[in-house]
Amino acid sequence: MIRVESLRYRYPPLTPGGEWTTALDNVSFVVPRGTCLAVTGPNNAGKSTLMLAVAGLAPRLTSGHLEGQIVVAGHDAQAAPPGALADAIGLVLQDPSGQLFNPSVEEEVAWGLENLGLPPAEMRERIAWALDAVGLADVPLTQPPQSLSGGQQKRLALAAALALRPQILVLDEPSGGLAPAARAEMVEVLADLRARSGLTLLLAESDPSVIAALADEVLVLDGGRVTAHGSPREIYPALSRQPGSPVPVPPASRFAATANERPGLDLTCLTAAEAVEQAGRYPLGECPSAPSPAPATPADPAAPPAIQLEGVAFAYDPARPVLRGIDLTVRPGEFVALTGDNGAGKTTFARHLIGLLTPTRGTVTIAGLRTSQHRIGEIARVVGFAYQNPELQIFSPTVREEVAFGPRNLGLRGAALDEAVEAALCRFGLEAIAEHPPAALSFSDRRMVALASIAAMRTPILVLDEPTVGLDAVGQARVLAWLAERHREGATVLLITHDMELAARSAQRLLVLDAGRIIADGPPGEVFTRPDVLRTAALEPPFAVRFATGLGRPALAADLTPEGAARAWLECLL
Amino acid sequence: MTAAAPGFYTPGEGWLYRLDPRVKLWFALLTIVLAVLTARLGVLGGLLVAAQVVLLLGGLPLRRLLRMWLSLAPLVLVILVLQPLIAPGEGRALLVAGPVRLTTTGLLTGLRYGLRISAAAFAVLVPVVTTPPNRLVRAFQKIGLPMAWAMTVGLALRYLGTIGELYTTISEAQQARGLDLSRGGLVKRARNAVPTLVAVIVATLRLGDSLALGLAARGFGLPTARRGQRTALHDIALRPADWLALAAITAAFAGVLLVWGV
Repeated sequence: MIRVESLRYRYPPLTPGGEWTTALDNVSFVVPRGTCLAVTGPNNAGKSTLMLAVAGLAPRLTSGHLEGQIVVAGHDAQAAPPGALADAIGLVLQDPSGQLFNPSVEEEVAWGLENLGLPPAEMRERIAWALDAVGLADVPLTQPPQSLSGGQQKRLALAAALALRPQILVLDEPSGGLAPAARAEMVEVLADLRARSGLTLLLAESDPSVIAALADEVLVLDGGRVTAHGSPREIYPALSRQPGSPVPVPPASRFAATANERPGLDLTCLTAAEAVEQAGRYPLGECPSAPSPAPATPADPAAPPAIQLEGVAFAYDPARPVLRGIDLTVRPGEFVALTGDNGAGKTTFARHLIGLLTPTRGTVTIAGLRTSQHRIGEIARVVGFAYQNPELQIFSPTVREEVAFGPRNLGLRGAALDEAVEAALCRFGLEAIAEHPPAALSFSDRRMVALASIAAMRTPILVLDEPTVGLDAVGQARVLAWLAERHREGATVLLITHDMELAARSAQRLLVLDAGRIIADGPPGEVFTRPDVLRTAALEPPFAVRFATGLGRPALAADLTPEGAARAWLECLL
Repeated sequence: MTAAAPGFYTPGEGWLYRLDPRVKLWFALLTIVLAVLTARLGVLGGLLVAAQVVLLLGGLPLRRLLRMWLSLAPLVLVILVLQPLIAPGEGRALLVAGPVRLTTTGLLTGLRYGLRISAAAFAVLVPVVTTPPNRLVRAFQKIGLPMAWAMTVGLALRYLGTIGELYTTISEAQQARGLDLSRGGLVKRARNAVPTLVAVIVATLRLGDSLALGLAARGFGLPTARRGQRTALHDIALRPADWLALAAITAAFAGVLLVWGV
């Protein structure tokens, strides 16, 4: 079991003469043996710090100052040297890249066992067991970890921790950055481990659907303090009644909160299946005909396309093509979402739109510029491009300079430059940290800095690769508000995401990429009704669609939001 | 998307790959010692040729060897050109132009330094490019190096390639934000390289932090590992062929010393 008592954690100032920041403040909880506690909350709430402290690595290997007591499986987690308890407390970090440092899958899992001093025969047994437990038994042992998909890499990191046979497993964002299919696999693996081996689990997790599926209890952290602690069924209904809460809640809870405004109703669903089951108990009459979705502002077919791909094919290795013949025209002012399973080619596709890659066959034309004939620096004058990993696009000594880099390259100087930078800092809530070094910020803050740097360029075309991954509800809302505003001003937006709630809420047109081809292209509501597409691309349609389909009343999903589905459902209640 | 970072190790099949890494390290050590001790151009040239022959016969693809020469060329050229100019030494001048004096002694010294550096570099590359980092770490450990040191060398070899890629990635990111490198010529490129390098260093430090956590989380600090009781899934062992190679290498170097002296 894990017992945390009156934990306080402070980080030293980031700038000379600055103040210490409190990351955790008087945090206490107990995780009984064999149970699962999920810690959730907005960005910068202290979740990762808590995970590292429980595993005994913070502040020893990080920075900061800790007070209070942490007892894990009978050990004082802070007393032992870092890593000395790795066979009692397993830790899986958020980013697999720092955890996979061996040349093959087998050696990756073996590395920790070698530290334990086990004989090779026992290692082989444990490796086979751990890989099987995480569903990687079919992967060749000699395969380099870097060549695995994102979901497989996360499960390999999990296998490497499990092989040490810890009694307690601490996981930082186990589902972070995973597509729905990979996320579902991760949940299944963890649920199975709990059932079979009685493992005690502590997770920092943002995805409410993962929490609802795994956790016995939820602890909500905000600003380093515990603001709520209870079962998911107690916590989520309460959170969904608080408008503007930064903690993500399951869409089914938002549905229930809206429906429960009608006196006499008391829905407690956390998943779409439960929503169907609970709502199904009430008889439905004739549904008022669903209002047809607001017609999308028709794009001017005569205007020259903002983005045009003709017969685009691309391969890093000729034997394994990534893109296989893509034809696509995006008119100026369109808001397009692109989705697909991990490995479908989304990021490769995006890199073509700014000339970071040029097609092996076919042509890419951006606002009239053929990418193969223009330098990246020139194309960047019309395309704002956000990398999937914000780490890779931040390089300046302060946040302010980072944001100014782009507009300065576009020729802005003096007051015009200052104004563009100020506006972008303000839009993404970065004024307070404008003079901080971006490298010392949290992942979510660096994401905001990367987006602000692009916003400051005010390019007519925006290409954003998974811009909301790792952001809390407030951060996501900021990004969406920015995109909506740029869209109203006439900008063309191409948003790559596997968050279908997000695509449904923002885009007029949804493209589905599978194995390097576009297999669906249409209004989101229409694409979500094509079971073949959903199955092939392993997509999870938004809650509203799953609910309406489950009830056999597809019209209830007309506006694609949980709240809209609740209102439509209330209207047809007898 | 980047595939597995290359690092220095080049996968291959030849006998050099099957040799125990300690034998290859012994070869590298003897070459370096001899290259430092000797001033004879013939011996230095011989050492350089020997390393090339070992690499090629041992199964390293010729293209990879040429690429290694290409990376080493700037350093060797600088030595060959600058050494005679900076330290011309005594003797008759072949050419005098203002303060610049070119002498035979200077040219020969330059050649000697160039050969010495190349021979030592290729000797080090023999174990490094033909041994997977994990086996090299195990070899260091078996020789008696503390695990923390052995692991540091192994990780450095493995991640050097990644760090090279970081430079490209960050430079691309700057261009994606409108930096047009083709305008402004060499001076602008050079001036821009500084912040890019700083960003690479920052990114490398972050990678280091994240690795430190990753290593600790997987039991680098376990009492067994700290006491040096670490085991290996694929252990290395000196087979008869390795002993034979060890003896042959030692005999060859001893022979060179006996025949030519230092």
